[in-house]
Amino acid sequence: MRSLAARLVLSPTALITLVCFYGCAVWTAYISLTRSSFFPNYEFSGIAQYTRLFSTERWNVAYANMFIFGVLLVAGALALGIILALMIDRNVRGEGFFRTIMLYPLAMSFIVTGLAWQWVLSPSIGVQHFVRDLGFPDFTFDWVARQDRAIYTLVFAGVWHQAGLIMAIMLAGLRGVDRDIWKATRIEGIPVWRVYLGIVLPMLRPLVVTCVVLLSVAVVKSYDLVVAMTGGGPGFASDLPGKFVVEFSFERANIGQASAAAVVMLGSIFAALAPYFYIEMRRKAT
Amino acid sequence: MSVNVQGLRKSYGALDVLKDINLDVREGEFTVLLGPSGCGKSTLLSAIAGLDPINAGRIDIAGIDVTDRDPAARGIAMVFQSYALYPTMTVRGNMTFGLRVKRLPKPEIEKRLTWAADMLQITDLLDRKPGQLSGGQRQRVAIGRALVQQARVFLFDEPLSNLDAKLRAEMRVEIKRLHRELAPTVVYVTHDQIEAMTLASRIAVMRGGRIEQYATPDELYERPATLFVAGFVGAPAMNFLPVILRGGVAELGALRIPLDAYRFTSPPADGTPAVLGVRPEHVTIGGPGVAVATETLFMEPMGADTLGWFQLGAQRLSARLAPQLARGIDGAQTVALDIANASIFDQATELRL
Repeated sequence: MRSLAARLVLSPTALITLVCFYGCAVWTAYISLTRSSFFPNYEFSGIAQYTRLFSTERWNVAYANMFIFGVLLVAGALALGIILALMIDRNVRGEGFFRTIMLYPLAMSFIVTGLAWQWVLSPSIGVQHFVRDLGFPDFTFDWVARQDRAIYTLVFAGVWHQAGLIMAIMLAGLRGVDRDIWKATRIEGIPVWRVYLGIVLPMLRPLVVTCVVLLSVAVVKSYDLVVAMTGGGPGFASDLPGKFVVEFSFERANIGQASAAAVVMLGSIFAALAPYFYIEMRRKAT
Repeated sequence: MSVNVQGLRKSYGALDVLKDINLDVREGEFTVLLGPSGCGKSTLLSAIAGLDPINAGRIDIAGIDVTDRDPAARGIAMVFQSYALYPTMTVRGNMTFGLRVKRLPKPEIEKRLTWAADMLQITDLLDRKPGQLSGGQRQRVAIGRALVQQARVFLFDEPLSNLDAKLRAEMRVEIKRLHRELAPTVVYVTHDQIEAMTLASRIAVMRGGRIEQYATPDELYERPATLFVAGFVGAPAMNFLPVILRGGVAELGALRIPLDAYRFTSPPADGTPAVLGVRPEHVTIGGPGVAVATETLFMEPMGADTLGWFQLGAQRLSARLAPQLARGIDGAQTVALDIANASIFDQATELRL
């Protein structure tokens, strides 16, 4: 009887999950294999949508951008976050202050982050304008307005936004390291940097993997940052797949293309998560 | 190499953890710091290791003042209760990491590793990770990591507290064997008096940041200097009888116990309230000493001995009896208190009289 009650209570959640998440995912995957354009069309057409998708230049730019943005964001946020965590771990004074300051960006939505950075980087009102007013009239910093550089400005903003989270996770890990290990290394006379590189960071490897997964997911689903900061521009030079999907389904009203793009994104997420699951499974097995 | 601590003080804020500690460990000696938790024994060990700054005092190792030296420059090695092994490295990596950092020549590292692994019988574990080892094996590795440093002073911080009783006994023997073969100077912290008694050449019993007595295990057991030491060392615990000393006699209620056999270190004034301490093995049936009339309460068989409990006036008295003898005992019973081997403490100062 108890299990019946439990099942009843849980059934709405299960139903919603089943229909809204898995159902819609399956429906989207199916639509991506049909001839749908403005309206759903259930006529099967194989991988035609995908061939068309990958011959659309805008998609190719967006998809390639995801990898540039992704690799740089993951590497940048991880490096900066770990360095910040190590600095706080060494110098305990003012820890609470720094930790809070560094976590603030995370409390802000990507929209606010994007707008703020747009202003900072905008040639006419931001850094470039400021430095020119200081008396360097030839100073140029217009990455946000350049086709080949705009994507990197997204990386700046993204790293600024995510580094605090990585710092917090890594700091928690560093604090969890047995104090006796530090004592043992002091008695052996091992320099602090060797302890971090040789002993402590390898101990935190599962945490690093977690950080990479979190960052990868943030990369794949990033939409608001682009919208607020560059609007995907100039042209579609800083477009990302998330923005591509939203625009094709709601503005361009091409549901077939949007579905195909969404499925490629889902595949990318699985690809990003696979190593994590692999490592977790292997750890459980041993 | 000797370890010499003079006038050591350590406080955390207003809390004095160590109050004027003086400790002299001779070369090759196995000194155990024994005491209940919070007595400052681990803090003292940390101070000797140089892991915690001290407020006052001086520490000499091998006759050299090391008070302001880094832990690594003191010529010590240390073993921790939590083992403090490096979890991502193999046993081999754990034992050699420090040596590799110091850029010792490879053959030398290999030689020390082989020697230490052989000494501790962990040669076939060298390629395992700490996570794949049992508690006892981990502690062997931790000791091995200390051995390869070839320090002459070893500090042990409750190394066996995380092991179960059987392994603890096994490792105790192992540590004793290592000390006999290598004869290093050892300072060893524990709250387990059996470990202390079996391992130590001298034991420093600590309480409240002070050393109450620093003596050989026999001396500590037979002639405890303070009431606390008498109560802390020995299991089953010593019997304490509150008495008044008057003219060479201890008055326990209406009972008069003559103390002719007792050798006072300082003769007490008449009417001094005192505590008469008698170990359970010195309460006998038909043995030497002062006979007193008691009522039998119950028997606790412990295997090799039976602990007999007797009512003496308002006091309970325990006696370590042979099991065969204990089986027949019941009702009124005369027992003998061996005063020659007893201890008497001043109730006010808690010092031995």
